Amino acid sequence: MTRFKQQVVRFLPIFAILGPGIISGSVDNDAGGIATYSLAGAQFGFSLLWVLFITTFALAITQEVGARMGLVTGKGLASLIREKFGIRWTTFIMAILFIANIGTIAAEFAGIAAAFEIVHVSKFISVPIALILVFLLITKGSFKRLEQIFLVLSAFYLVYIASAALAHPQWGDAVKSLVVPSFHFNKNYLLTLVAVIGTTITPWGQFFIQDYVVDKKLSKDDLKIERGDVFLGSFITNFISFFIIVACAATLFIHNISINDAKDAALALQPLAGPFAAILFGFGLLNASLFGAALVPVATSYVITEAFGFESGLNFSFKEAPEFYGIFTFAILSGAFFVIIPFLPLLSILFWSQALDAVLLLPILVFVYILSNDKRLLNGYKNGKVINAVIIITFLLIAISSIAYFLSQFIT
Amino acid sequence: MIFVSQLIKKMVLMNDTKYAKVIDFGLPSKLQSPEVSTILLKNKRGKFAVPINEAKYQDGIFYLTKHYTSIPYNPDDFYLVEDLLDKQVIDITGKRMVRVNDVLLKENGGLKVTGIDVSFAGILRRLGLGSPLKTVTIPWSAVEAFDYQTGDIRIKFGKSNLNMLHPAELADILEEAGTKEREGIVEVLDIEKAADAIEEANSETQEAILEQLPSSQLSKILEKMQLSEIADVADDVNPQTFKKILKLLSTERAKRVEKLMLFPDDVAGGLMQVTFYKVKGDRTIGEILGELSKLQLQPESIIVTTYEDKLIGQVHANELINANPNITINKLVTKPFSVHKDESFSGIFRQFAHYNLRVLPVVDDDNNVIGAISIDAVMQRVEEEEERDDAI
Repeated sequence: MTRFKQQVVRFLPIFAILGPGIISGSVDNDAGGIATYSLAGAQFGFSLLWVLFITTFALAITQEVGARMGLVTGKGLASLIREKFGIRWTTFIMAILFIANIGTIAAEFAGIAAAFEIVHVSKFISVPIALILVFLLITKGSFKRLEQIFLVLSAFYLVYIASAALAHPQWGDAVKSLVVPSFHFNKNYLLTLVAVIGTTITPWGQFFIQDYVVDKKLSKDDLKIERGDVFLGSFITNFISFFIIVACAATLFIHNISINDAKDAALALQPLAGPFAAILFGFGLLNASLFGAALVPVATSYVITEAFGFESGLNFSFKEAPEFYGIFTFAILSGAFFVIIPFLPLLSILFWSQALDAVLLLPILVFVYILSNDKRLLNGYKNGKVINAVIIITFLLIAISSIAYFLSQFIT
Repeated sequence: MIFVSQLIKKMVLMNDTKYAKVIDFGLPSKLQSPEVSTILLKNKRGKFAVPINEAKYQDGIFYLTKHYTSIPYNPDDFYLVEDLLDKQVIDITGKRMVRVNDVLLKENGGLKVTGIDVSFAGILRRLGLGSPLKTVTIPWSAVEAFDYQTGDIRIKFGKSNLNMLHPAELADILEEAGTKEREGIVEVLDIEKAADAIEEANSETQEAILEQLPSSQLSKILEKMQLSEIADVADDVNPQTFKKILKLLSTERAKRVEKLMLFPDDVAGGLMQVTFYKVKGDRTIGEILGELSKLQLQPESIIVTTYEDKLIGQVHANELINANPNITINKLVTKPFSVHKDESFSGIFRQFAHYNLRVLPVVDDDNNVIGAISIDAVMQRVEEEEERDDAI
C-alpha cells in the first residue's frame, strides 16, 4: 500500500503537467475536425495525407512555442501582444481572434445539430437546447470535472482506427502518400487543404496553450515535461486524424460516395459498427462538439479580458465581471445564430469555419514569430532555427494555398 | 491635464521647420520623482533623448532649442510608453487587476506624471475614438514599484495616500477596482472616509461593497453613513444583505431606514436626510452656539421649529456668529421655504435654484419637519441623471 502511494506521488507531478497539450490537441479533433478530415478522405482519398504529415510538426512546434513563452514569461499571448505592440495591434488581433472563434463556435453548434439530425431532430430544436445546456455547463459545472469527462469520452476516436483496419485499405499507399506530396491545382482540393491546416492549428489553440500553462503556474523547470506533453498531444491528434482520413478514403472515396450530411460521414464507421455506425458517429460528434462549444467561448472571454484588463474568471458573478460574461454569452449566441440560419447547410459551416481559421491564423503567426524571437523577453529561451523554419513553412503553406484557391476562382 | 497618448507622435519644430517626432518621455532613474526629465525624439537619423526643458510645449507642438543637449540612453531610466503604457497593474498581493490604458500628465512649467488611466475610456481615446465614458485614474502616489523583470506595475494603496484622497476620487477608484481590490481599499480607509466614499460611489459599486464587507466592518461604516444613503442602497441590494444591514444598525436607525424606504427615490421624502440640526424658536443665539461647539457640529443651516415641531424657517450658520447672542433665533429666520414630502424632484430643484438654497426642510401634511435635503443630495441626483442619459 505504502509502496503504491510512493509510486503515485512520484508520478503525480507528471500527471499535473501532462494535460494542456493533450487537451488542446484533442479539441482540435472537434466537430470541424471530424467534418474536414471526413471530407478530405471521401473526396481526395489519400492525396491530402502529406499535409497531415506537415501539420503534425507545425502543430507540435506552434504549441511548443506557446507553452515555452507562457512558461518563461508567466504571461498569456494576449498580454505579450498588448505589452509589446500596444493597444491598436491588440485590438486588431483580438478582433481577428473573436471572428475566428465565433466561426469555431458555430462549427461546434453545427456539429451538435448534425449529430441530432441523425436521429431526425431538427436543428431548430437541438440548437436552442444545446445553447442552454452549454451555458449551464459553463456557469454551473466545474471545468475540472468537465475536462476529465471529455478526455475519457474522446477515446471514442479510437473506433476510427478499428474501422480503418477493418476496411482493408492499401496501407502501403497510405503511408507513401503521407510523405510524398501530391498537388492538384483544383479549387476544391486547395480549399480542403487550407481547411485541413485550419482545423489542426487554430487561432484559439495558440492562445489556449499559453494561457493554460500560465494558469497552472508552471515554470521554466517544467519545460521538458511540458514539451513532451505538447509533442505527445500533437502526435495523438494527428495520429487519429490519419485514421479518420484513411477510414473515409477506404469506405467512401473508393465507392465514389460524396458526403452531404453527418449520415454519409458515418458510413466510414460501418466496417466496425455495421448498422450502429450512424449512432456511434453521432455520439462521438456530440461529445466533441459539446466540449468545444463550452471550452472555446470561455477561452475567448479569458483572452480578450486579459488583453484589455477587465475582471475575468468564472468565480466572479456577472455583476462583478460583466465583460467576461458578456463576451462569451455574445460569442455563444452568434455561433448558434449562424447554425439556425435556414438554408445554410451544416456541413458548409463545419468546413468553411476551418478554412477561415487557417487564414485568420496568418496574422497571429506573425506576432507569435516576432515575440518568440525576442531576446529581451525570452532570454536564453528564444526560438532555434528549426522552430523558426517550421513556423515560416506553416505560414507559407497556408498563404500560398489560400492565394492559389483565390486565384483558382478566376481560372476555372 | 493632458494624456501621454495625446502627446505621442506630436511634431517637434526647430527654427520653425519640422525636426523630429515625439516618441516617449523619461522619468529619472529608479522613479525618484514624478517629474518628466527627458523627452525621447525620433527623426531620420534615429532616436535621441533631450532634457525636457529644452523642448517647450505649446498648443500641440514642441519647440526644440537650437543647441540642444543629447542625452545618452540610460536603461535605468523609466520611460512612460516603453515601460508603463499597456502594462499590467497588480496590487500588492500579486493579483491581476487592470492595465495602464493611458498616463495622465500635468503641465506645471514642465510635465509631471499625476496618475494612470485604467478605464475603458482610455482605450477608446488611444484608438482615436471619442468616448462618453468617464476616465478613471489611479493616482501616481499609489504606484509602489515597477517590476523590471516581468514589466508589471505594482501598486499599493497605502493607508496614508488613500486617506489623503477626496471621497469623490476614492469613489472613482472603487468603481473601477476589482472585487478583491475593493475590499482591500475599504479596509485601509478611515471609517468616516470609507462611509463618504461609499456614499459618493454609483449604486452598483455601493451594492457590491455592502454585499461583500464582513459584518464587523460593515456595522462601523453604516454607523457613519447617512440614513438616506443607506435607504437608497437598501432598495437595490439582495434581501439577505438588506436584512444583515438592518440587523447591524441600532433599532432606532433601522426603524428610520425602513420608514425612509417607503418613499420613492425621486420625491422629497426619498431624497432627504433624517439627521439634521434643528432647534426650537425661543432658544437664544448664545445657547445654540454653545451647544454646537459642545457637540462639535458645524451645520450649514439651522432649522427652526415651534414647540410642536412645526416649521418656522431656517437660519444660515454664518448669520449666528455676527448676531447678538441674547436674542432668540426666531428673530433671525429669513427663509421660510420648505417642500412637502411628496414633492417631485423637479419641484425641489426649482426651489434650490430659485432661492439659492443650501438646505431645504421637508415637511409632512401637518407642516411637521421630518427631514432636510442638502444641496449635495440634489447635485448627486443631477449627476446620476446625467450619467443615465449618457448611458442611453
